[in-house]
Amino acid sequence: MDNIPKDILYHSLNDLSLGVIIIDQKQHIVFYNQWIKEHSALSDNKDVGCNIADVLEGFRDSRLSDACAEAVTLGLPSKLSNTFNPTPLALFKKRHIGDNNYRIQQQISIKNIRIGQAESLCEILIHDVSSSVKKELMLKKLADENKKQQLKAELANRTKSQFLANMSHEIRTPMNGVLGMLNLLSTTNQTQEQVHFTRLAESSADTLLHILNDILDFSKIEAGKLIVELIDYDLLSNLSDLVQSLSMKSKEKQLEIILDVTGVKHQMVIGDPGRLRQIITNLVGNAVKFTQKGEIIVKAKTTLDDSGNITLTVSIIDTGIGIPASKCSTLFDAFTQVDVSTTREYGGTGLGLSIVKQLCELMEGEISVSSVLGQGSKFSFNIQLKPSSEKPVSQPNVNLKGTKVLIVDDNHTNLEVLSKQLCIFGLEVIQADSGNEALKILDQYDSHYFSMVIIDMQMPKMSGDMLCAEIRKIKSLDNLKLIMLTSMGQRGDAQHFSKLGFSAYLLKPVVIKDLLNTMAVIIDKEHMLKSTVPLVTRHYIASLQEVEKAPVAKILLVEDNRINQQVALGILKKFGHSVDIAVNGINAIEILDKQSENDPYQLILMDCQMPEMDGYAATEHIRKNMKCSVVSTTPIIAMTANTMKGDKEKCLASGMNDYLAKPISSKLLQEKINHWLSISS
Amino acid sequence: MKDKLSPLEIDALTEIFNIGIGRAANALNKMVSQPVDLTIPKIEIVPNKTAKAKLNFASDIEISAVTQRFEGDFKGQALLMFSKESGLQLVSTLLGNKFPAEALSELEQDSLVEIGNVILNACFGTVINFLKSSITIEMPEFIQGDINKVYVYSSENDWSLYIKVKFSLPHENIEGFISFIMDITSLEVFQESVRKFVFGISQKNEG
Repeated sequence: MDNIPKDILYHSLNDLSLGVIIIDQKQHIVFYNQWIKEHSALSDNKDVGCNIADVLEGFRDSRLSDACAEAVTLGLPSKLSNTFNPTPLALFKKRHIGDNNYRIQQQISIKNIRIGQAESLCEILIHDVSSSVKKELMLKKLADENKKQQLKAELANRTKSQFLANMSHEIRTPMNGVLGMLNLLSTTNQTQEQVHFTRLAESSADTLLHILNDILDFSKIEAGKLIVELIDYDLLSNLSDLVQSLSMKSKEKQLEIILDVTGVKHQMVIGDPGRLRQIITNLVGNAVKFTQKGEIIVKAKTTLDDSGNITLTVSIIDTGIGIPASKCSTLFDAFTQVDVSTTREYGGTGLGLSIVKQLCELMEGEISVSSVLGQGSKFSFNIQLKPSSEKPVSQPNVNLKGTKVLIVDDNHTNLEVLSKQLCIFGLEVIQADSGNEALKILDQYDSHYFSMVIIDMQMPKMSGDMLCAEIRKIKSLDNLKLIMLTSMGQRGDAQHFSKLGFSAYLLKPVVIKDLLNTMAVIIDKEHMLKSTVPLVTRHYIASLQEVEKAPVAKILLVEDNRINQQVALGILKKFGHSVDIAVNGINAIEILDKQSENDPYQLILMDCQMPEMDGYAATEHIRKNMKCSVVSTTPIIAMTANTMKGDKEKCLASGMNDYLAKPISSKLLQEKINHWLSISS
Repeated sequence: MKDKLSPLEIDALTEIFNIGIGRAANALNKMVSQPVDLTIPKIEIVPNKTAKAKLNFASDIEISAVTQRFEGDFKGQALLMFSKESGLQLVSTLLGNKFPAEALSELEQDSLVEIGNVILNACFGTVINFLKSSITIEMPEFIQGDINKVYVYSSENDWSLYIKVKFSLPHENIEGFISFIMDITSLEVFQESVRKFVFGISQKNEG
């Protein structure tokens, strides 16, 4: 290297496409190259030997100058980045020397060059990074703009959702009036035509409320205010109860809903049963809406993963009109329906599936759909649950292992599902898909082989009761128990079926728990007819008793809205309560102050949003400041149109005892009143 | 390592680095106009492998580092290290970025290099001044990655002099480390310089 002629070294240094300046210990210029000449006021070596600070503006007292000193004395190299020192030296673009608008963006390296022992020089290397700076500036601007837009969009979206939430709240208040008044109207003496009109108006108002709830849910999700609860519950009975209640709707269209929970291995789980119900209700509701004939299968299964979480997968399979493949992907977007025209035919907000999807996502799952046009659709979703350590409240407490059962049903899915479920409990099941087939099978086996025959009522050719009559004709089968499954529950059925020779009858869809209990009872106690709709029956009796013994009370109603006053007044009067009205919190306190001690109010119904003094403030005053102990402990039930999470807590925190969401349902109101009256007496 | 430094020599070294890193903190303080907290330098003579393990502040964390190698009387590597997040945060603070970046641009990397350069130079300057040593220091380099990318030693069996200081900008939740690692062959020379320095002081005191 030492042999390279000086000429070559000089020229290569001089022609470098970056700036080179060499200075000595006193900061006098030793050398600068062609690049410097082209980009600064320095020219033709006349400045060599001058102090660099004198001839190159920007050097004196700069960080660059300090760095040069350190390099020469201590040998420390330095790097000056462009970000901290964009244009330290007076270097300009070609042909713009001296014009500060054209200063070059610089990045400078400083290091010492040691020649021999004594002399130490400093080399300053200047890179022109103008184009990089320009590029990065542009990118940064784009990125910032992007971010700004994103934040703006998010804010706008939240604002929109907040607006929706507020609006649905505003709409709820008059809705309360409409629904309540219609309810009262239906209890008056009406002509047949008026009854019809009232019923139509009620059902329209109900639909409107339903849509409103959808919008509220949707905006809650969008605003990030929807919280998923974590509570222990019985997954199996939750699903069974739900499907049973859904089948009421499907019966009107003669559709069968079949629940297959053979894959559910975990009965007690931790999750949000309400939201799960909401998802299934929505999907089954859709299935019923879009299916004219056939069946709807709700199939559930659970799996445990390595981390100890349970994945619940539910499929809802229908035999309806189906969905074109091209629409499947947008189906879960908000405000989308398969076809705008379907809105007219089938109704709906187009929010349902979007809500379902978001609920699934909130519960760490997802939803998908597959469909064949004209043949049906299959919606599958999964959600995450946690195993619960609690024991199921009521496990079928029966041992039917080895019991031999014949099932007769023309619907093969039904046969399959029912058999599978019974097999899980150790029963031996044989299937028949018609009455004739069943008679053939009974003939083939020994007359004591089967303990029981489960018969579907609605079958073509030979219906369930016809089959029953045929079986009862056979004397050797007298001990054979018969269970009827029917979709059409009617009053007097029990007697009717008992006369025919059935031991029990059950309403479809059958909950396996109920079926097993029924079978156990039949085997235990012969000739006893057991109707297994104990829930309905018990509830029915309970509600009758309640009306009979419902206490009558003196109630103070605090409500500013006149329509709502009338609604509540109507309901309360109907139940026989005596009611006074206060129009706001202050008025209520006045009335309470003046009331006679011998005949105090037993209960206060308190609206939350009122002018002058709202329900929260009034309650706090009553609880804290009212001397009379009768008043300060009177039960207060809040009535509010705010249904956001936390409203209930707010009511309770202010000292109220309970909470009712508007629109007020007369049944619920009466229940709450009875509950609190029984406690305070 | 048989001839470990005497307690007096360790004290002297600690003091030298203390001054150097104090100057570094001062330089950093000027750049960020914020208080900078420093720990007292900890000086140890440990095997290379241990030094590397000590350098790492958490496994599988991505490190942003500025390093300057040096050789001459003694040979080694000076390091300024941050977690990637702290590095980003520091640059954002210094440049007044409105939105914290997800990665450093090329020019922003340069600014981190400059910060490292200023801090490490302050340390180097003090050491050279006190110990009258002659070393050549290379230009600063930016390295991003895990510890294997940041620090490479030549032999697993050799020993190194290991110095580590933790510094932080409490207001910005920024934390970093300054480290010097020297290999053992140069350590003997280094020790000699330290002894001379200590001897110089004790002589002065006696005189």
